[in-house]
Amino acid sequence: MNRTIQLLQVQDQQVIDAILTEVTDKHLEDARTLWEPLLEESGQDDEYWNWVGKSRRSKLLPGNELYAIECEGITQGLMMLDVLKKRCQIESQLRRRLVYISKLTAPWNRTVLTNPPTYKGVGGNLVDFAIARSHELGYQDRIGLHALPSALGFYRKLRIGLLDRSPDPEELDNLGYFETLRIDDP
Amino acid sequence: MLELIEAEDAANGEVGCGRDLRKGLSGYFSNRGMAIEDEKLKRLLREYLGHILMEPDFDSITIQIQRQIESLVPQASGKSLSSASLLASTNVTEHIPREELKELFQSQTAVFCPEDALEQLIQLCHQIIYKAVQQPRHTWSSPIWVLRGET
Repeated sequence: MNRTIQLLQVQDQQVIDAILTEVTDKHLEDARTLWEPLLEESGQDDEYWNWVGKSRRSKLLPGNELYAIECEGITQGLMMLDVLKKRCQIESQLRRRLVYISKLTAPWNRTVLTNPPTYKGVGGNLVDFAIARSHELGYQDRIGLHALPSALGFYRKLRIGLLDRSPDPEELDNLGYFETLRIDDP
Repeated sequence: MLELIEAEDAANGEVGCGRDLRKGLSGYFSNRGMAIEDEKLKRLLREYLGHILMEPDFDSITIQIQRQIESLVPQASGKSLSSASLLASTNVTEHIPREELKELFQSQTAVFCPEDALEQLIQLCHQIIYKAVQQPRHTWSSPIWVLRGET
């Protein structure tokens, strides 16, 4: 699967094409060699995320899918979806299926690490794809996710019908839980 | 796309989501990749507790047990569990037979999990289920949901 998406190249404010695709060894290698040194001792929430391990685990359990955004041959963002095991928590759609974003990161998007960032739109495109995947699976575009504290502003600003339950009382790390509300057709 | 970028800018490009596993756990997972199958555990829960609990309770119990498994293993290779985290076992009703739980966990964790850690896991599991029966998740007051999409 290769889907062409668009990113904003910050330097010249040009919109350029990028690819959203299933994760390959090359993407994992980029995360290991390009991101890990950048994140090391940064104190960022994803400092210790190990995408090689996540990829291995994703193959053990059903319903896990990994995707990457690649631009000019370099990995810009990674996302892990669970399309099978998580269910909706909003009462009106309780236990309906949804696409749960288990992990999402785009380190080069962040001004705290790269200022100015090379591209913008990586995170937004990944979330957009999760919604498209939900649609494709017949889950009526419903997605769910636990936002990292620093990213609450992003998910609160997205106009995609997310309901916010922050903090999640069942989440040990006090992460905010977001879920798309969809009203069923009569 | 402008809307997406506007949202990203609002958080200085921070878009991350997912549980924040600390170094110890990530280090472990990078080598092991362990988890148990939710559905097998839920089947067991439904069999023994289906008459008093509901699906949200089973979801909640399963999440908590998965977390115990995740945190049990790093300590299994080094320190032992803090006794403070364990309730006095005499106060805990065992709603699911110990042997059933042991069989389930052993079939999926035995390669990684030493016998004493397995025993602790079973004990913790009894406690989690006991608490869930005392205060079922499905009886909690409804959470407050807020529609986002701020302008």
